[in-house]
Amino acid sequence: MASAEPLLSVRDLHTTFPIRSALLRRRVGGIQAVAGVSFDLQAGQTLGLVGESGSGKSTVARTIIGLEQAASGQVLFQGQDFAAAGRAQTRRLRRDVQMIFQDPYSSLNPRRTVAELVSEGWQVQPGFGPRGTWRASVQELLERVGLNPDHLDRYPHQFSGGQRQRIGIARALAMSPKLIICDEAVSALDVSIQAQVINLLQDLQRDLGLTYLFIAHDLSVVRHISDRIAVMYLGRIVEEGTRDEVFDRPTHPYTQALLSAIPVSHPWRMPSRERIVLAGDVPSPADPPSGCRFRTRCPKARDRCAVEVPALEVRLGEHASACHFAAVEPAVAPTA
Amino acid sequence: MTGGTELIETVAAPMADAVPERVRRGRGWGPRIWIPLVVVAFYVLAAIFGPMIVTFDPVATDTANRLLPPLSHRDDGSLVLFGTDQVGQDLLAQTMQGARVSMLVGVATLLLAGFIGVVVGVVSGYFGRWADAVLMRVADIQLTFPGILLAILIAAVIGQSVLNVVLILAISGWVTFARVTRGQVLATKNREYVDATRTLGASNWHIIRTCILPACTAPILVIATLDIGSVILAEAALSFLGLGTPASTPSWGVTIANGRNLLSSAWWVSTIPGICLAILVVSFGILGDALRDRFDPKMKGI
Ligand SMILES: Nc1ncnc2c1ncn2[C@@H]1O[C@H](COP(=O)(O)OP(=O)(O)OP(=O)(O)O)[C@@H](O)[C@H]1O
Ligand code: SF4
Ligand SMILES: [Mg+2]
Repeated sequence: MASAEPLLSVRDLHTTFPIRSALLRRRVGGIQAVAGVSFDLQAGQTLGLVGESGSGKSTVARTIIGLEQAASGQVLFQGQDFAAAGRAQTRRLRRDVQMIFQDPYSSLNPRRTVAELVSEGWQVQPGFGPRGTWRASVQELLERVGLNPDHLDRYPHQFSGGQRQRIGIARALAMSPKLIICDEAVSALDVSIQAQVINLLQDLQRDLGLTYLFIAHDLSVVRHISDRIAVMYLGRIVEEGTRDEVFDRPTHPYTQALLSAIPVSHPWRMPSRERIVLAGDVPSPADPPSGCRFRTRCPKARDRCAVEVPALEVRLGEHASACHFAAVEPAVAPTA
Repeated sequence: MTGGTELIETVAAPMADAVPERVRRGRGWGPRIWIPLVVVAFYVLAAIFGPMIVTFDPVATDTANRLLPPLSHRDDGSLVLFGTDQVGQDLLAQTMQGARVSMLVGVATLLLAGFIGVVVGVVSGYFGRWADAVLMRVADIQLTFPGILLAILIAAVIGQSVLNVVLILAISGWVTFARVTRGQVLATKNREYVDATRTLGASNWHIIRTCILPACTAPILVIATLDIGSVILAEAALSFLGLGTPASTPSWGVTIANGRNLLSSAWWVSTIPGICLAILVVSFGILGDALRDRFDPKMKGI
């Protein structure tokens, strides 16, 4: 697919949460939150990761950044394995990968000032210059993210949700990262504020050459910002391709269902558009269905789906899809 | 949008951090806080400056003026506000000296118990696993001994001194601090801002210092206020039983014990320090309750 070495390469990642018995705290099973996820992310690009709640998007992000331990698989950053690197090196690598969290209210320590929050990375990592210069640098960062640079002695509770999210962005930028993971970074914000924050993220990407892993369940947001899109279902990626491939010519029934559910602004212009309503609930990741994980809700499921796991591979000669019966359904996608 | 393709998440409600926000907004300090606070402040002033003004000499005797009732005069004409005891010692001086000893013991005990408790609570709450299992079992075992019995046992073994009293009371007092700290650590360590700090490459020590400990201060202060009354009371009980502070540094318990054979003839010798003790303990109790309600109503059962 890609010619240059990707900035981030995730190979067959598995992350499992143990289920323990209430009495003896013995391990009695596992929640396969991430079950074999692979993707490449090229420098300077944005990969949108979408899926329903509980599909494992956050767990992918948290495993990449080291907040969860992978059960197996690799996370390669510039070709280097995070897990194999030593402690000091891991800390150094962590600088290059930063994260913006979903909830701007709980992701900032309420007891620290903006100046302390933004410069926190400099306090914990060596090599960021003398402390005396920090306040000026914090002010520059605040200005960069569209906040009043004089507010650096305020506390998070004195800011609105959108402003807090900008503080979070400044915190991440302070580390001069190469990759920023935005885990539903705008989901908690009002729609008008969402657009402002997304514009800021795009400006920063253009000016600083940042790479984004952009996680969202709102497909319209992902469409706006992403170069490539990966769709997740129950711990696995079911479809991956460029934005236009996934939006205009989806081949996986799950992607098609997601797209058919997006409201369009002028429904009368698409009289033939079908709404695919999925039956049932998402199965438990503690006991996923055999074969294709989507088969319990798939309108096209057949016997083969229960026995054979569909690989995520290029199908119909275009982009990757994990369906034995991949087929383009042109009538589902909304036109922008 | 219905069915399985529900894609719109409700906007997350602002989750303010309960404790500091309320403190910062500074809701009025009601009478339940300031009245006991004034009483405690008065005791602190009396304990600090009282013995400087009315000096107390533990070996002085003045048999001509023994067992004078409160508000009477010595033969030299000086007023004895609280009366005198069986060797003619001024009870006011003794009571203020006692306040000094009792409050010093109380504060020192809480500092020591608080330090042990916070360290244990942070280690078991933050690092969990076997450290948690071991430390919390030790705490459980500690709790099954009645505090005062344990104190009597230890006092009988290691002997009498102010330092020993502090050690004894701290040994039976650290568990509350450990439990409260552990609970607060458990509630804090999975907060998103802790993860956000970890992704910067922060060490555990940095996270404990900047995220965990600040979240523990309010409940620890509440516990300390609730506890100091009972620590002072326990010290008085030990001293009353002759297992606490030695006679050379008389606390209230010692003075009360001195007067217990005189209750029918000279009630004031025991009663006045007893009343002083009761007022202080009750004040701390009211203050602690009020602070708990103010900072964290969820802490009710503690
Ligand atoms: N710490 C944990 N312990 C146990 N199970 C967990 C843990 N974190 C996540 N899970 C489970 O793993 C699965 C994937 O969760 P995850 O948070 O990654 O999903 P998500 O796609 O980010 O969903 P959302 O849109 O709600 O954020 C879920 O079933 C969840 O219950
Ligand atoms: S493999 Fe079968 S069950 Fe899975 S998406 Fe394709 S058709 Fe549906
Ligand atoms: Mg999530």
